[in-house]
Amino acid sequence: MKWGYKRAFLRCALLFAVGVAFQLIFGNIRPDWIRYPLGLILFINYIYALILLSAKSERLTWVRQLSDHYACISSLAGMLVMTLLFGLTGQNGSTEGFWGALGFRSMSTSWPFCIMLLYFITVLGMRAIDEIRNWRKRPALATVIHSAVFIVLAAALFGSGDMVRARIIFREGEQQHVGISPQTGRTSVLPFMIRLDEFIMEEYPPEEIRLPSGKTITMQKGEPKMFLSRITVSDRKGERHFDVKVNHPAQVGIWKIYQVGYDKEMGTSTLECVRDGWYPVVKTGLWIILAAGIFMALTAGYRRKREDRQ
Amino acid sequence: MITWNDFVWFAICAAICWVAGAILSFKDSRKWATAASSIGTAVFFGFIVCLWFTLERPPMRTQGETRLWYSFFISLIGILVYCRWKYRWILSFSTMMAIVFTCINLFKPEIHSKALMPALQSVWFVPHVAVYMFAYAMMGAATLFAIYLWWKSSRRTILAEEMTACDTLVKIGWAFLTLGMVMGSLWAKEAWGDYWTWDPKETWAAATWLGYLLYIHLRPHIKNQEYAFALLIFCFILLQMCWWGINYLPAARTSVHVY
Repeated sequence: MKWGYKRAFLRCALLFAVGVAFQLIFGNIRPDWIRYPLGLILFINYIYALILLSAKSERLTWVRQLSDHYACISSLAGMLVMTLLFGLTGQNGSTEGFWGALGFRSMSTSWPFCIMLLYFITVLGMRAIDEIRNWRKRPALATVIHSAVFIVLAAALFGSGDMVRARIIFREGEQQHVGISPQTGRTSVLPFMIRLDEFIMEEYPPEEIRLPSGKTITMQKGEPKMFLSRITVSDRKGERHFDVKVNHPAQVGIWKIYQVGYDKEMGTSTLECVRDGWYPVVKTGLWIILAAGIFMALTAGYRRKREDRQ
Repeated sequence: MITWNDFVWFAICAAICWVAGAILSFKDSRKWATAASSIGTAVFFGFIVCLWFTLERPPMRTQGETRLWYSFFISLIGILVYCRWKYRWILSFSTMMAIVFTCINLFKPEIHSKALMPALQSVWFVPHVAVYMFAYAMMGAATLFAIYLWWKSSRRTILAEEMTACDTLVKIGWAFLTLGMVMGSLWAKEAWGDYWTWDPKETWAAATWLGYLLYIHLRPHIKNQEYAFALLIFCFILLQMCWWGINYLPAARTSVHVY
C-alpha cells in the first residue's frame, strides 16, 4: 500500500482513539452543548480557519495532506465504518457494556462519531475551498456538490444544539404556552399562547379485500385518514388561526407548529413547536444538492467523452 | 377494476415479452429485441397505473409495491443500457432480475389496502419513493455489470470503456440516491420538524450513500479491478440492508420506515 494511504488511515485510527479516550473520560456529548451564540461563533471561525489554512497550503505540507486524495478516501472510509457501526448497534442510549462504554449505543452524540464527522467535514471543506479558489481548473459540478454538502453538514454539526422542541398535549378548548422537549426533557416557554379550538379526525371506512386464495378479509376500522388541529395562536401581534395537520405545519415567526399525534381515548391532540434557526442554511444547501443531483443524473454519461476529446 | 389478483396475467405477459427480447438480443435483431422488451415493460407499467387507480393512492406503501417499481425500473434500465451501449447480455440479466422480483410478489402476496397514513400524504411521497426505486434498480444494473465483468476478467482483459459504462451506471444511481435522500430530508422537516434523525433507515441509507461515494472517488485510482467489483457488490449488500434488511434487524425495530 502507498505511504499516502497508510498515513491517512493512521490519522483516522488516531482520531478514533482520541474519540474513544474522550468518550471514556467525558461520557456522551450533551446534544445542546454548543448553543447560540457559541455555535455561530464556532461555525464562522471554523470556516475562517479552513480558508486561512487553505491559503497557506502551498507552504504547509500537513495542510495540503488534509485535502489530498488520501485524506478524502480515509475520511470517507472512516465515516462509512462509523455509520455501519451506527446501523448495527441498537440505539438505546445505554452506557453499559462494551458498546455502551464506547458511546456506540447513542452514536450521534458520541465522541468517536462526532470527531470522525468533524474530520470528514474538514477534509470536505478544505477540498471545496481549494476547488473554489481554482474554479477554472476544477469540474464545476464537483465543486458545487462538495460545497453544498459541506454547508449542510457543518450547519447541522454546529447548529444542532440550537434546535428547540416543545411538545404539548392539548384537550379541546385548552390554552398553553409551555412545552417539554421529547429528547432532552427540557421545559421551554413559548413566546406565544396556543389554544386548541377543535380536533377533527377522519378514518378510512372498513374495506373488504379479496385474497388470491379466494378468501375475503375485512380491514379493521380505525386506520386514520386525516387528523387536524384547529388552533388559535395569540401573542403581542394579536390572534391568528391555523389548521395544523401532518405534513402541513403552521409557521409562527421563526417557530413551526407540527401535529405529531393524538389519543383517541383521552381525546387529546399532541402538537410540537420547533425552533430551528439554522434550517434556512441547511435548506439552501439541500436545494443546491437537489439541483446538482438532477444535473449529475442527466450528464453522468457524457463527461468522459469530453475528457477523451481533450 | 384491476386488483392485485389480476397481477399474475400482467406478469406472465410481461415476462414472455422480456424473455423474447432477451433471446432476440442474442440473435442480433436489435430493433425487435428493443421492441419486445419495451412492450413487456409497458404492460408492466400498465398494471402499476391500473393499481394506482384501484387503490386510489400511489402504489408505493408496502414492500410488495416497491418491488413492483423495482421490476419496472430494472427492465427499463436494461433497455436503456442495451440501446446506449449495445451490450447483448444486459437484457437477459435485467429480465432475470425483474422476473425474480415479480415472482416474490406472486408467491408472497401481501395485503394492499387503500389506507394511506397521514404521514405519507405529501407531495414528496411519490418522487421520494420513485427516485429511490430507480436508484436501487440502477445500482442493481451496475452490480450485474460488475459480476459479469468480474466473471469475464478471468478470460480476457476488461476494456476501459466497459469500466466506464459501469462507472456511469453507478454515478447515475448515486445521483438518484442523493435526490431521494435530499427529498426525504425536505419531507421529514415538513412532517416531523427535523430533516435528519438517524432513524435506522436513514442510517443505512447514509451508509449506502457513503459506500457508493467511496467507489466513485476510489475508482480512478484502483489498479486492481477486482477490488472495484468487490466494493460494488459490498455496496449493493448495504443497499439491500437499507431497502428491506432492516426489517429483520433487531437494532432497527423503532424505525418509522418499517413497512
